[in-house]
Amino acid sequence: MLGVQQFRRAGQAAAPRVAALVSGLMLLAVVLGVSGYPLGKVLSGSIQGSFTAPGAWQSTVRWMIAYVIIGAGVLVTVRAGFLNLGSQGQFYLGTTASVWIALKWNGPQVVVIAAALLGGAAAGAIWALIPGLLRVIWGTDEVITTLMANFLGVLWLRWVTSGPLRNPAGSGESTSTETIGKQVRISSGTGVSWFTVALAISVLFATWFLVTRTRFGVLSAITGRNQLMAAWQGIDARRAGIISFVVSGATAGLAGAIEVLGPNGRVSSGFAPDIGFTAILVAIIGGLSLVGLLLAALVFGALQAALLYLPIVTDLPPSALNLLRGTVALLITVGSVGGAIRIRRRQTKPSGKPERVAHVSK
Amino acid sequence: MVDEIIRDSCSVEVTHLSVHFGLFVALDDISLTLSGGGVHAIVGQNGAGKTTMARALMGLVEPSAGSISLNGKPLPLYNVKAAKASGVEMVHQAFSLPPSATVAEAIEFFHPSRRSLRPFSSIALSENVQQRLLAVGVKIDPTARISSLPVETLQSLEIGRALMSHPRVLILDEPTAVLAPQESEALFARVRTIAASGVTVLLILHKVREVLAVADTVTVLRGGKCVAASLPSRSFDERELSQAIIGQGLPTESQRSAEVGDNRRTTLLQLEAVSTQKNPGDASLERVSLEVHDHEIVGVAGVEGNGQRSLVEAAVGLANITSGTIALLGQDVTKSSVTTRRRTGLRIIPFERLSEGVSTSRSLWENVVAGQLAIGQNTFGFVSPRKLRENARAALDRWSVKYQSLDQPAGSLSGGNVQRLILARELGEGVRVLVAAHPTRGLDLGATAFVHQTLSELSESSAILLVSADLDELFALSDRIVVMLAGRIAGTFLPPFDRREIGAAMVGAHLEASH
Repeated sequence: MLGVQQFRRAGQAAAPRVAALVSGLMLLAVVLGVSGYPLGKVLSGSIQGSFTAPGAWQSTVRWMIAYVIIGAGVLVTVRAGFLNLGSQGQFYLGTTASVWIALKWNGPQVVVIAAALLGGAAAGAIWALIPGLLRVIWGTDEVITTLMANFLGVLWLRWVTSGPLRNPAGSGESTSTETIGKQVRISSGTGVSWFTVALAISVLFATWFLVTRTRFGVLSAITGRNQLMAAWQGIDARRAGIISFVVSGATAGLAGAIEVLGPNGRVSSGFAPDIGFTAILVAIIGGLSLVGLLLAALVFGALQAALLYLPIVTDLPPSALNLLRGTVALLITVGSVGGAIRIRRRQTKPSGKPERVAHVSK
Repeated sequence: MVDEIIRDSCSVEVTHLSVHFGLFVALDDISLTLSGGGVHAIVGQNGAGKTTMARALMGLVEPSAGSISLNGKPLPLYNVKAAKASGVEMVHQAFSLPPSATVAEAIEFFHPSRRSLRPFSSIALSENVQQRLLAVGVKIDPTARISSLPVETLQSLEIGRALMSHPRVLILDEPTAVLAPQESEALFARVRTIAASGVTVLLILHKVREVLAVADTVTVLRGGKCVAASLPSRSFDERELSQAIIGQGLPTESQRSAEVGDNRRTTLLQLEAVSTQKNPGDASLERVSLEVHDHEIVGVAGVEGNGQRSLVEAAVGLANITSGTIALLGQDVTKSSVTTRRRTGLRIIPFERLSEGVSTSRSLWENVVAGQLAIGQNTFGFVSPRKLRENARAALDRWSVKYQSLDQPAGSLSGGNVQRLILARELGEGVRVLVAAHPTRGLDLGATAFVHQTLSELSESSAILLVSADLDELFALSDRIVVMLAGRIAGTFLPPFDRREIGAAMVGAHLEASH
């Protein structure tokens, strides 16, 4: 009984986000149709590209891994009441730290891999710590600082790939580092191996443990919604905030390290430019639950895979996914406003005293 | 604009009025007639249907049956515009003026002085609004920001705003909930003046003493039914009216026995010459010294804004202390955090239940276990949700909180049940010193009696600092009352308490006499 009810409640809660996703896809279809792309071909190409063509599901899973790992960190910050939009920059910092370790250190295989993964996570964490400290010490709006830090991350990546770690043999517009040694790669070019999948599952599990089974998890959920109450309870909201920033930076950095040690083997300037933002969207569409995160990552992983495959069957521009992302983000924002209004209306009826409630919820 | 200055008073007839919210019956077949003019009180416990009744009159809720007429003329139901056009105005419990606007802007917004789009200067606007406010008896600086006004001024402005539309029926929803006793007196004087000018005033109240002091007639609602329809208030005394409201005899509130063995009187909470940094919300403390002993309840009286909040915040560790020392159980905690103080045995009932007391959007169990988790040591320590939920369930059951599921948000509980939840969290284990701020504000008689009994029992094993705006509450519970005035302690009183003496100290009369 209870299980059924919980499922129904979860379904109801997810409905607006699923609706946003579906409407986004429909709008994309309309735009593509009007622009004269063969819709049937695009659809069948998408399914091939994400699941049925040779290597397609690996491509889907490869993107899922990144979205799940980065999204898990985003989830921790949002639960604690912050919005870390700096995943992209933290991801870049992670890639450069790990490629540096993998290129420069000629140690035992296991040690170098572990060091590169941890180093990537640490670099991402430090990059996230800066806006985190600014936020809890001076109250600087973290949305702005993390967004801006992304630009610094892009420039940092450009400097690293064109300066200290530049591949002298490289040519062309995009600069890149040398490719790391075969012995420290954790997957082939597909990005999918038992190890990378296991890493993603471990991050998912660790996040689940952190938010539901630790003192930090329960308390940060409360602080995230009501800092005033937290203060009267003596809950240290600053500490919860800092921890959540560090965790989300670390996951983004770890995802960067996996990209380097896995599918890419090197870092090039401006690579995977949307991975961080997509992961944030994935976490939000997933309704900040881990199951939702996994499902949303599957959808967006498949879309990304399909989009990379589609040019083979039709000349679809890669910006189509940007259109979808933008539409979904917009619809979700609008949807949550609508939801808030509905909740307010509902409260007006049975309680008979809505003013107080409305006043406080503001 | 042919509004005549002479308005004949307007009677209100309610016939067989019922309001349902889903299956819940908020009002059940109410019939009553309120004669024109005069002050009519509508009383009852929380959830008795008072506010629903007022909202039905105002056209804010849809009745499922019945009718309302003003002076015999039927009022279209569930139609705010029609209600306003017929001269019904309401001042809500939570005020509606925009906080960031100035008084002049807010009033001009609700009552535009002209329809044209021609711009006017802010000086002209201020003068215009000031004139119009004076005409309805409100003296206030029109350039002041709404957000900077003290609550009683804000209320007076809200009433002025309602009066500007020349209402024939004026409804005030629990106007005294936010006021200190003296301010309530002033409000009642104003209400009587308004009624004398021919306006029919409906007051929603739940303090018996206030009802008897101000109202001409009393209507008692209980569980959505009308148990007394517009009876002259002269026909009740306090006890009878309480019984009508609550439906059973009240537990007699005993004065606390003064003789507690002096040898057991160890000081648990001690403030010595404590001063705090200025803050905009309340008077800062100026060299306040206060001791609360074991087995003792010390009441703090005072007009709101005279340092009660600063006192509580200093005691619990949320104030910036500039000088002086604070000790808990003999340990110096002047520089200690809330957490450290809570670990020592401090527990707190904060001022605002719904913002400081609970996180309304989080579940009941999280809100309960927050107390126990907050004083834990290890940030990443393992917790078992199942065990936490069991603890929460046990605590909620012990304090008879009415709830459907541990997962429902705390904001879905009624005020009384939220307070029980807070008590369940704060008084669970290890309480030695309780700082309670307005623990019964806005609660109905039943819930209030429960809180009083709880505090009384708790005082047998701990020290309690009780801040309240309700003098009756302080008199019934305190072993000692201190009066706060402008951030200082203006007087200390021992039982038997003299209402006039304490009232004088609250407004500074006592202080001046002693200098």
